[in-house]
Amino acid sequence: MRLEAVVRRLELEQLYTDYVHCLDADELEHWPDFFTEDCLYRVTSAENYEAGMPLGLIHATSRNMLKDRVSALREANIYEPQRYRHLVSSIKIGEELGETLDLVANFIVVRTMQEGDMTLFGAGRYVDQVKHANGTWKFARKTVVLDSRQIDTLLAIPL
Amino acid sequence: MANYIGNLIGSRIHRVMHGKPKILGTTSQILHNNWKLYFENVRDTYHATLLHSFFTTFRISRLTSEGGVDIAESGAHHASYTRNKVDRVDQATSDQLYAGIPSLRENFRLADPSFLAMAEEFGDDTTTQILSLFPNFVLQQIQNSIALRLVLPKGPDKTELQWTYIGFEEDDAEMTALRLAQANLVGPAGYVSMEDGAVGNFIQRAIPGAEEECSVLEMGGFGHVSEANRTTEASVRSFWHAYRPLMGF
Repeated sequence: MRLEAVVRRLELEQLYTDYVHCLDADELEHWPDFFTEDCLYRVTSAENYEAGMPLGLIHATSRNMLKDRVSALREANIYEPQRYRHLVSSIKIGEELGETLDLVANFIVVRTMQEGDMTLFGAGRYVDQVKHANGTWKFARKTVVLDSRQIDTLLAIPL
Repeated sequence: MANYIGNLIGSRIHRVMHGKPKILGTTSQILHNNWKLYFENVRDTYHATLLHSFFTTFRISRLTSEGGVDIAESGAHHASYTRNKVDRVDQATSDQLYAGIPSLRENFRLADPSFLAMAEEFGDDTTTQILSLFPNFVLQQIQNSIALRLVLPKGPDKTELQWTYIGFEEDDAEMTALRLAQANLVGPAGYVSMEDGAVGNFIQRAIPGAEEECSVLEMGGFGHVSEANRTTEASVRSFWHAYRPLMGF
């Protein structure tokens, strides 16, 4: 592997590391900062994704819509306290096209409720497009493709 | 089927299903409560604006708007509806009436509220309609978001809620984009519906230890016929009216 490719991989691994730590540490106010202003963020199932169905359980077409998701969770929605633990691995780096780069990464998420109940809440892949701007990578598109069609109780905190 | 549903509720299905349906996607939500708790939630016309901040804060649905509940003669089916552009009282009075209710978050504003704008579609002024067919089917229209919900019992305290989101073949790209954006309101991650995923379990957990207790609240009397307002539990009672003889209770 060429040195540039090694550096590139480390940069992108750092991006996912920072991204999941932000969510798992409940620093949701910083979560929209990982995205470009005109981003597309979508949570869907493998079934929908593979059938070409456009539905998103969360469907945001701008960074502002991500900010609204966070303020709704903080100020409006009623749900039980819970936390996630994301594990991301097997990042597959695609071809670079101009400023953008396609990526696929595997993830699992364990959800722990306030009383201690712990479940494997989701497993799947991030199908992403990142964009290089001002020395950092941001997500221009992030499609969270969950392997299962079932969501236990509710999906409050983003994935 | 038409006889089973009847004209009153049938016409309310027709006003929503005005084109050739096109599936936008599906999902499934596992609820840790008895299926009837979810169905009561659907049939309860009163809780929505007390529980769901999005309805109240953004005036999607308030009890101060025009609205009501249609109940089939058999009691089996229902449709509750809001005509939120027709206020019974002016906006300031509505705010005053909701002032003490926690679901009204006065300072809560969206950075991008564009998805809440409703496109003219149904040729009437009904902005939200929640319809149920006994025993386990729901047709939802919240603004331009249309979904079918199937309530599947998976055990005494487990229910699968299957969602199918639809548009119509006739939709242009803009309408499809609006339906996808408004889908943020419903489903397991919906600004409105996620709360319905949790409340059934809150009640389910409260039941053990209080099985001999009972409380009776006759909200809106004890009838189960159509009413021109939603401050009533008429459609909840009508569910039990249909359920009891079938189960021999």
